[in-house]
Amino acid sequence: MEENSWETWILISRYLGAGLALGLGGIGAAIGMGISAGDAVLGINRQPERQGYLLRTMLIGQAVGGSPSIFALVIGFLILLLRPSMPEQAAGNLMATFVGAGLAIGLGCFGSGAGCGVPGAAACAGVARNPRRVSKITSGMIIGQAMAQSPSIFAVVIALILLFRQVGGTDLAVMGVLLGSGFAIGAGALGPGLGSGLAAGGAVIGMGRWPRSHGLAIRSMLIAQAVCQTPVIFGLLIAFILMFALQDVGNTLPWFAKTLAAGIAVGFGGIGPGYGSGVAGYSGCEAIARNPRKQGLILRTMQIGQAVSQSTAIYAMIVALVILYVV
Amino acid sequence: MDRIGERWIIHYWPGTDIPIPLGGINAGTVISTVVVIVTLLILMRLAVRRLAMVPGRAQVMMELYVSVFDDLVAGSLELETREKNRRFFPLIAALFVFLLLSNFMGFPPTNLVEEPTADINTTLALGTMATLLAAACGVKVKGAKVYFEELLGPMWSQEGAGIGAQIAGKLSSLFFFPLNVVGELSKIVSISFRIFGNIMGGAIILTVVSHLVYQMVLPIGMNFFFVFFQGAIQAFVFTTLTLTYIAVAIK
Repeated sequence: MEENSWETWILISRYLGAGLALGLGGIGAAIGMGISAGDAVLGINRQPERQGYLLRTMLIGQAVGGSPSIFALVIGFLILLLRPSMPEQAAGNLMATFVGAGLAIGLGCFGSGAGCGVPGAAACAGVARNPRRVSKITSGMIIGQAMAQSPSIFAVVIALILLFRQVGGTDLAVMGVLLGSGFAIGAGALGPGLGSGLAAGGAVIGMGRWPRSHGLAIRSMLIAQAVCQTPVIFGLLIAFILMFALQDVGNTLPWFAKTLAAGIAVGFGGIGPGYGSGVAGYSGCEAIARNPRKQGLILRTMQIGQAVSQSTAIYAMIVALVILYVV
Repeated sequence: MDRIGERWIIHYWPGTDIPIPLGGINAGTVISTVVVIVTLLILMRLAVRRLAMVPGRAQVMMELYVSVFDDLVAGSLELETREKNRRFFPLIAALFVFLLLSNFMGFPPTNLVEEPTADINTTLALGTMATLLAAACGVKVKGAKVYFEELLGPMWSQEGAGIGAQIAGKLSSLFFFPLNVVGELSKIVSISFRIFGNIMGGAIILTVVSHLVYQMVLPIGMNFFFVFFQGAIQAFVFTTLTLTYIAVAIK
């Protein structure tokens, strides 16, 4: 194999993409598992005779919360092993594909993995306080974690679309599109993943302490998490626009910058709002479980606060659209 | 595999080469939507065929469904009387079962059946309906003047303030009004892309994983998670979000 042939460059990008996928994607899940383990240890300290329950809850929480890192593992293997459908002269775009998919899945699984630790920890605390309700608390935790994983599922989808719809050639604009859509969904999923994990944590704390508001806590948790995930939906929208709805794209450097910049705008723009509305969701869900009679008032206030916190994500989306279509 | 995410669209009138206006008809979506609606009608009709004081299984399910959604609507809207809350009940309850069955359409492992909710047109239509309905309810309850003054920002009407502050408040609406309008419009995007992304994403993941493991073992468990679990949760989230949009608009 020649030193500077296209194959070498494709191999380099495969290594880079898989490294990004696994390196970044593993961070969050590990942090989340640690958070759950911390609260399980505190719980065992409090109720040593219930250690079986606590250990089980902790392990279930960690197993469910670890699935984002498994997504990253699967996509990482695909990046390393997938056979390109158009090998000759397709190097530039293929390189962008692999790096883009790596960025998407790596950053996208970071947030969800870390976020899933919060409901796990809350469930351990709740089981330590009230061991008889272990099954109800565990089921609430699993629903919260599954919801908190939808940002990482969006990232998986975009990574799969990138990997399986390979575009041939070496096109600056196409490279920008591939990298930009990967970054948009990846970074855009970071904040929402963390935030919806936080919201689930608040709800699980609530259903552990005030068992009567179990159903109410799950309902408010779903609403809070859905609102937290708005930034990643904007990321998904921009990624779809980049991949499917862009016309009159020229093979020039400005178009490369344009498409990449749109992805960066909506990606970075989603981190803060996702996390911020998760903080609001944490307090809101706990407050609703504590005071179910005022549920309407608390829910409305929480939603208005989350909507205001999300305005920056909306500005980021507008900036991305302006970059793509106006300037 | 390189046709991931594509759907069955008829671009020309059958038998001719005359293009259908607006880009064609999404045949798969239309057919499966009709299937969903007909199935729902038949199921509901069968369930309430023999109403009795001591209900059978189907009737118990229906009564449970009605009472759960009745409580959900009443608990979220908190209007004065039960009758006023019940005005919204048919919409919310029908939306939920429609979305639920639509999401479950992904269950048969073939390409012949397409979930209506994996088409952005379906979800965008429902999301637009939810947002416009919330706005209309807001206008009806608060009155058009109050509703549009809220869009103009918090500093539009300052009673008892000096003339300078008044002018500054009116000028601030130039900043707030576009932002509020875009914020309202982004609700449509977020509510419709949420269910679309989850359902279509699940379908894509199922297709790719089934292809990679040659349709063996793994897709069964994943089918349960992505189709039934995520499908039910996303249908419920869409319904409750519609309800909370209305509740926020009328308070």
